[in-house]
Amino acid sequence: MPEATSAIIIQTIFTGLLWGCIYALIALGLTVIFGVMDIVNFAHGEFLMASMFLAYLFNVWWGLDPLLALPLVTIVLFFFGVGTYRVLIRPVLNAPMLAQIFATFGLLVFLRSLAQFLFSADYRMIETVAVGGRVEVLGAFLARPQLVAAAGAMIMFALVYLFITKTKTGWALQAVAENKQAAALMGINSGRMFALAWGIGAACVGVAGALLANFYYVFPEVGAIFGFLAFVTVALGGFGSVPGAFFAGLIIGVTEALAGVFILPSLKYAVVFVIYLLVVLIRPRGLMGTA
Amino acid sequence: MVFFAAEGITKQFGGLLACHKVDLQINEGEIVGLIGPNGAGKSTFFALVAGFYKPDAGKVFFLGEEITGMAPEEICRRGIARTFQIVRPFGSMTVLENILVGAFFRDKNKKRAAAWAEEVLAFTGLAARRDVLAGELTIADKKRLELARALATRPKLLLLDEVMAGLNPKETQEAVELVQAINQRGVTLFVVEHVMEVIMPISHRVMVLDGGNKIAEGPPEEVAKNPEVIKAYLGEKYYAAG
Amino acid sequence: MQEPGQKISLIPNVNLKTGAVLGGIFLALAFFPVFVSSPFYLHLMILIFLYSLLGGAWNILGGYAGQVSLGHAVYFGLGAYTSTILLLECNLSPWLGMLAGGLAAVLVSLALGYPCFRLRGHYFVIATIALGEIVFVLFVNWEWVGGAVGKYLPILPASLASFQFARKEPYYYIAFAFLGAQLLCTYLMEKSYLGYYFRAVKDDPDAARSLGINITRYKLVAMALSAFFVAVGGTFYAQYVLYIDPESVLPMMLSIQVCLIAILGGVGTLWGPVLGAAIMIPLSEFSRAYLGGGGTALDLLIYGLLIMIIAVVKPSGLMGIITRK
Repeated sequence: MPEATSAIIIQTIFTGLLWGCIYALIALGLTVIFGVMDIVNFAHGEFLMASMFLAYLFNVWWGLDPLLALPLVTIVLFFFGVGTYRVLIRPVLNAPMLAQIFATFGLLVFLRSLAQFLFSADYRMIETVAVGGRVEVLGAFLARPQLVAAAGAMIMFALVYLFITKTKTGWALQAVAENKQAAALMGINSGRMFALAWGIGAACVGVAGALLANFYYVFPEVGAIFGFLAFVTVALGGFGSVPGAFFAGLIIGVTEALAGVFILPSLKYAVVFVIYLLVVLIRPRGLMGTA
Repeated sequence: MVFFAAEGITKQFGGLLACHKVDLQINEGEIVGLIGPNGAGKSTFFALVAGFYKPDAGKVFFLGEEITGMAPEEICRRGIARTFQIVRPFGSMTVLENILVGAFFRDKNKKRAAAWAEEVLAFTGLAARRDVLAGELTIADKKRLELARALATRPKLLLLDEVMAGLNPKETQEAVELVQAINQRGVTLFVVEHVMEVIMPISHRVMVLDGGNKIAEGPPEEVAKNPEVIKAYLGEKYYAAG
Repeated sequence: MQEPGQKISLIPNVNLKTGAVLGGIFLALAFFPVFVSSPFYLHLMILIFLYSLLGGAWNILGGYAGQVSLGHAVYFGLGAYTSTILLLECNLSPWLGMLAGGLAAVLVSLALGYPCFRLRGHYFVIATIALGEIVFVLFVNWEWVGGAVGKYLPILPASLASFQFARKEPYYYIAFAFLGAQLLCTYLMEKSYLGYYFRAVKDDPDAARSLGINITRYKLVAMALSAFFVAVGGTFYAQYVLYIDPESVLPMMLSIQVCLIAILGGVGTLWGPVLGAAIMIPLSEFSRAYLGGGGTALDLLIYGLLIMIIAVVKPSGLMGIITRK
C-alpha cells in the first residue's frame, strides 16, 4: 500500500475514533433513558444543541472557556433533564407510544425553533479557546481540542458506567430497568429513578456539548445531525445497552470518517444510515440489544 | 382423516425443555382439556399449536394437512382460532368492533360481517356491552370478548387459553356454559386451564402435562385417579373452582 | 339473532347538523375564489389543501395503521421528480406524470416498507428517518435529476392539459379536488374492513394475527395508499411552483411537518389532518408575512409547544376536543 494512502487511512481512522468517542457519550445519554423507561428522547440532539449554546453564551458573557464552563453546563443540563421528565414525560408515562413520541418530538421542534428564534440560524464559533492547535500521533495530525473532547467523553462515559454498575443508586436504576414491579416491591421509587435517568441522560450531552463547543460550530440545527447519529448509534448498539453504545459509537465514527474520505464527503451520513438499516434488518434488536 | 394431531412436539428455550415429544389427537366435535401445574409447558404447547412458536421437532396436522410452524394468520385461515391468556382486546374499539374484526376474516363485505358480528355478540352474551370501549370492560367481559372475537372467525377448532382464570364462581359457571354452547354448535374445543376442577366436567378427554412431558391422557374421571397426576398436583391445593 | 328494531349496522350515522355544517363549509370553499381574489389568501388556501392532503395521507399509515413514518418526504419528492423528469425528458403530460409518480411512490414504498415493517416501535421510526435522509443525499448527488441545483419546469401555455396556469384559481380548485378525493378514499377505507384491520394492527399486532390478519400485508396496503397521495401532492407542488430541488421537496422538515399536522389535528381521524393544516399553515404563513420572514421559526416554536401540550393533555389531538373523545 502506498505510504500516502496508509497515512490517510491512519489519519482517518484516528479522526473517526475521536468522533466515535463523542458519539458514544451522546448515545449513552439516550440509551440510559431508554433502558430505564422505554422512551426514546427524540429531543436528545436538541439537548446537545442547548448545552453547546450554553457553553457559547457563557463564553460570550463571562469569557469563560468552554472547558471551564463544562461542569456548570453539565449541572444545568442535569436539571433540565429532570425538569423535562417532571413536566413533559411523567404525564405521558402510561399513554400510548404515539403520545410519548409526540411529547419528545414536540420538544425537539420547540427547542430547535426557540434557538433559531433567539439566535437566528447563523453558525457561531467560540473564537479563542484555551486548548487549541494540533498534535502528531503515529504520523496522524489530530486537533488538540478534539483529543481533549474524546478523552473527556471517555471519562464521562466511564463515570456513568461505574455509577450504574458500582453504586447502590446505580443498581436501583438497573433494577427499575429490569423490572418495574419487582423494583417497586424492593422499595425503589421508580419515579425518582426515571427522573435520575433523564438527569444523567441530559448530563451526558451536557458534557458532550461543552466539549464540542470547544471546536465545533454552534447553530440551532446542530442537534439534528448529532441527535440522529445518536439514534443510529443506540439502535446499532441495541436500545438500552451501555457497552453497545460504546462500540457502536466507535463503529459509526470510523465508518463515517472513512466514507467521507473514500466515498464522497456528502455521502458520509448516507453510508452511516445504510449501515443502520442493514444492522437492524439483520438483527432487529441491534448488536447488543436484548428484549 | 384425523381432525387434529400433534406428533412429538418438542421445544426448548435455552436449557429449559418446555415441551418434550408431546403427542395429541383431537377428534371432531370433542372438547379436549389440557391441564398441568404452573410451568408445565401448557402455554408453550398452546403457542406452538397456534403458530406463535415454531417447534424444534415434531409435526402438527389439521384436517390432513401439515401446519407445523405456520404463521398465526395462516393457521387461522385453515380454521383454528385462539384466545390469549392475558387478554388482548383492541382497546380503542368497541366490543362490537372487536368482534367485527374477527368477522371480517371470512367475509370482507361490511353488511354481512356486521350481521354475523351481531349474531356472535348476542350468542356470547355481550349484547349489553355492545358499544362499550373494549379497554373499559371488566376482566370477565374481556375474556368473553376474546372468545367472541375468536369465534367470529368461524373456526372449526377453537383453542382457549385459560379463559376462566381469575373469574369468580358465577362468572366461571357462565363461561363453562358458553364453552358448552359453542361446542354444541359444532366447534371442536381445546381448552387449557390451570384449575382442574373447571375443566374436568366439560372435557370429553383430558391431557396432563408436567415438566414439558405428557404424563396422562384419557377420560377425566380416569385421569383424576391417575397417581402421576395426583403427584404432579401435590403441593398445589386441590381447591374448588374459584 | 338480531333483535328487531335494534339499531344494528355500523352504517354511518349521518347527523343532520354535522351534514349541514360540512355542506356549508364545502359551499364556502367552493365559492371562496369568487369573492376573494387576493393572491396571498388564495395561496394560503392552496397550501392548506395541499398540507391537508399530505397530512391525511400520512394519517392513513401513521394514524390508522399506527406505523409512524418520519420519512414521507421521500414520496413527495418522488411524485415531484417523476412527473417533472418525465415532462422534461419525454414531454409527458404532467397528469400522466402524476400517475407515474404515484405508481413510482407506491412501488418504492412497498420495496422499502417490506423489510422495514419487520421492525417495531422506535426502530421503525428511526428507519424511516434514515431512509428519508439517504434518499435526500442521493438526489443531491444525482446530477441527471439536477443534483443540488434542482430542475426548472418548462413554462408552457396555461391550460388544464399542461397543468399550468397563470392565475391561482385553477390551482385552488385542483388542490381542492385532490383533497376531496383523498378524503373520500380515506372515508371509504375507514368504513370498510381495511379501516378495522388497520386499527387492529395498530392496537395489538399479535392479536390481529391470531384473527387471521396478515399484518405485513395490511401495513403495506396502508403504506401504498399513503405514499400514493403524498406523491400526488408532490406533482401538484412541482406544477404549482414550477421549480423543484431536494431542499424543497425532500427535506426532513417536510416529513416532520406532515406528521405534525396529523398529530395536531388528531391521528386516526378523517378530519384531523384538515384541522391541523387549517391551524398550522396560516400560523406559519402569517408569521412569515408579518414577523419578519421565515427565519425566525416563530411558527414552529408555537407549533412545538402545541404538540407538547397536546401529547400531555389531549393525545387524541384537537379532533378529540370536538368529538369529546
